[in-house]
Amino acid sequence: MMKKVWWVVLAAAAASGCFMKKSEFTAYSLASAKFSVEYPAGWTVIENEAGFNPGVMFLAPPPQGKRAVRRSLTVDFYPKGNTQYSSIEDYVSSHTRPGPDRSSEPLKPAAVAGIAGQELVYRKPLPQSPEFAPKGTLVTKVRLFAANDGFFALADAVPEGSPADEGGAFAKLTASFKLAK
Amino acid sequence: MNTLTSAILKAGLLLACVPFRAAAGEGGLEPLQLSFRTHQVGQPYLDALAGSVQGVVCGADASSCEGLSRTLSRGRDVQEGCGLPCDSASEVAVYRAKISLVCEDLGLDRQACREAEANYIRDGVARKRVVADAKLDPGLRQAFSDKAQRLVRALGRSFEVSSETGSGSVVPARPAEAERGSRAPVPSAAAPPGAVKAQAAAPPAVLSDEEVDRRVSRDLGAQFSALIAQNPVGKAVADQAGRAPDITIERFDDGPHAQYDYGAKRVELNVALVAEVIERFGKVTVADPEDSGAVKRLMLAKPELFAVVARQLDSIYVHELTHAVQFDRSGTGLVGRALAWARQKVHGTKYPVEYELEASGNELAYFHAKVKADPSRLGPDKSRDEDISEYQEYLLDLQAYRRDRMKLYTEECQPVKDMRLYAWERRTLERNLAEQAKAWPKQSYEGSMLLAKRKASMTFPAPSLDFLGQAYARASTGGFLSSTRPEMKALLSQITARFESALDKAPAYSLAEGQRKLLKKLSSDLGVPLPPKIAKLVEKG
Repeated sequence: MMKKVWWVVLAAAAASGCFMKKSEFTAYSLASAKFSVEYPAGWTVIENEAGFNPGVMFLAPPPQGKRAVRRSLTVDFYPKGNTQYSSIEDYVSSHTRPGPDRSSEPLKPAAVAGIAGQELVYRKPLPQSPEFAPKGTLVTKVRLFAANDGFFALADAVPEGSPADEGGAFAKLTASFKLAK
Repeated sequence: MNTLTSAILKAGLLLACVPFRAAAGEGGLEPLQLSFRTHQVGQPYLDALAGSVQGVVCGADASSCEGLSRTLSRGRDVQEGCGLPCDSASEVAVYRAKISLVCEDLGLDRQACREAEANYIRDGVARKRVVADAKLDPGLRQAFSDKAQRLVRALGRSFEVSSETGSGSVVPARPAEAERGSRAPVPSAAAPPGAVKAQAAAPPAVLSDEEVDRRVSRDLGAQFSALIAQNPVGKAVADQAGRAPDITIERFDDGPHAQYDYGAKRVELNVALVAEVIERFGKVTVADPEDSGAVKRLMLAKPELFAVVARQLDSIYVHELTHAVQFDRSGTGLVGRALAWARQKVHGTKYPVEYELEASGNELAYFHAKVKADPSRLGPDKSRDEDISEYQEYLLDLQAYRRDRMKLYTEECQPVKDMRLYAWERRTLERNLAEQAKAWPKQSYEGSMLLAKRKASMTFPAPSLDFLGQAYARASTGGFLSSTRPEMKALLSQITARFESALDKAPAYSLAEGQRKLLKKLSSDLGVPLPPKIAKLVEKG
C-alpha cells in the first residue's frame, strides 16, 4: 500500500513539473531604446532593422516533431515622432480594428517596472505564406506604458491553444524589465 | 553527342513503346500514317485525327490505348516542330530520331519514313516550333475559335478549329463527311453518336502524363508571365529571373500552398489550392481536389481555367520566382554549383530567413500594384480572403509583418548573420529589404486609401474611417501629408455625409471611443467641419 502511495506522489510531482529543468533566462539590453530585460536562454534574438523603431524579438525554438508557428516575445520602444505609431491610443486602435477573424478584449490596467499602463489582448488569423499556411489564431498579449518620451510595448504572441505563458517567460520578461538611465 | 543522344533516346523510347497496331486493325492507322508523312504547318495534328482509331484501340485493351496515346503525343511533338533554338546538329539529330520513332510506331516502311523525314527536315533544316502568343487569354482564344467555327458553318464548309491553348491557331481541316468515310467503323458501344467529335475536341483525355505536365507548365507559365509582365514589381522580378521556371501541380500532404524546388528549378503548386481556386473563381466543380492528374487534365480540357488560376495565384508565383532569383544569385555555372554544394555541406537544407522576407515583400508589393491598377480586386469575389487579410496586415505594420514571417519558417531558415556561407549575400539582402522598407510608407498610404474608399459606401462607414485614419498616420509620419491632404479631405467629407444621412434612420448608433477621437482629429487636421448629428455623436458618444 505504501509503495502505491509513493508512486502516486512521484507521478503527481512529475506532472506538476517538479522534476523538469527550470527555464534559465539571459540578460539583454538595447542601448538605443534604453532598457534591459531577461529572456529565456536559447531563444533566437532578432533586433529591429535600421529604419524601424528600436526593439527586439525573442523567438522560441522550433517545436519538436511538427511544423508550427513559433512563440515570440517582443519589446518595442516607439519614441515620440516615430513613423509607426504616434501614441498608445494609435497603437490600440490599429490593433483592435474589426476585421474577419479579428477580435480584441477590453483594455485592462497593468503595470511594468512600477509604471502604470494598460494590457491589450487581441486575436488575428495565424500568418500565412506560400510555403506554410497554418489554420488558426494568433493571440497577442501586450503591455503598453509611456516612458522615456515615447511608449513601450512588451508582447507575447502564441498560437491559440498553447499553454498560457509556458515557462513563465512573459512574466519574467515584464518583471525583469528595467529602464536604463 | 549526336549519335549517342539519338541512340539513347531511341532505345529508351522504344522500350516504353506498347504495340497497338494489331488493335487498330488493318488500315486503321492509314489516316495517321498519311498525316504524319505529309503534314504541313497549319494542318491538324496527329492527335486531332485519331478519334475513330482511338475508339477502336482503347475499346480493345488499356495497354494498347496507352501506347497509341504516347505515339500521338510524340507525333504531335514532331509536327509542332523542333524545339527552339534548334540551331545545332545535335538538336536536329534528336529531332530526326523522334521522327524515326513515330515512323516505327505507326508502321511506316522505310520509303514512307524517308518521305516523312524529308517533310520535316528540308535540306538539313528542321521545322521550327512556332512560339504561341502567350499574352492571348485562353478565354479570348476560345472566343476566337467559336467565332471561326460559326464563320465556317456560315460558309457551308466543315473545318476543324483547334482551340488548344498553346497553339492558338485556327486551322483548316479535312471535309468532315469525306473524313468519316475513310475511317474504320466504330463499335457503337465504344463510341456513341458524337463521340468522335467529342474525343477530337478533348485531347487531354488521351495525352500521356508527361505531355499533360509539359502542357500545363507551358500554358500556366505563359499566363503567369503575361500577367506579371503588366505589373512593375512582377516585371522587375521576372527580368531578374530570366528564363521562367517550370511549373508543376502536385499533391502536398504537409500543406504548403507552393514551393520552389531549386534543384529542379521549378515552381510547385499545391493541387488543393489550385482546385479551390478553380471551384471558387472558375465556378467549375472539381471531383477530387487531391488528384493532381485529374485537375491538370481538367485545366487542359477547359483552357480558360489557366487564366483563372493565374489571376489568383500570381502573387504566390512572384514569391516563388523571387526564390528562383535568390538561388541563382551566386551564379549558375561551376562556381555557383560548387557554392551550392558547400552550403549544403555546412548548412544542410537551411537558407537565410531574409530570403523569405524578401520574397514576401515582393509578393505583397506585387499585390499592392495589382489592386492599385484595379481596385475591384480588393473584393471577395475577385481575390482570395487570405490574400486580402495578409495585405491588410502588410499595410498596417511592416515590422510586425516581417516578424510574423520569421515565426513561420521554423525548421528551414536561420538569420543570414548566422550563416557564414551566405555572408557575401548579406549586404544584397539587407539592401533589398531596406529598399522594400523605403517603398512601404507610400504603399501603406495608397492601400489604406483604396480600402477606405471601398468601404465608404457602407451605411455606417466606420471601417472606412479606420482605414482613413491609418492612411493619415502614414502620410503624417512619411512626410507626404501636404500632397495627400486633398484626397483625404474629400474622402472624409464623403464619410461624414454618409454618417449624417445614416443617423437620420438610426439615431441610436454609436461609435467606439477611438473612432470618435479619430473623427474629431481628422476633422480638425484636414479642415472638414462635422455635420450636426455626427458632431453631437463625437462630442457626447
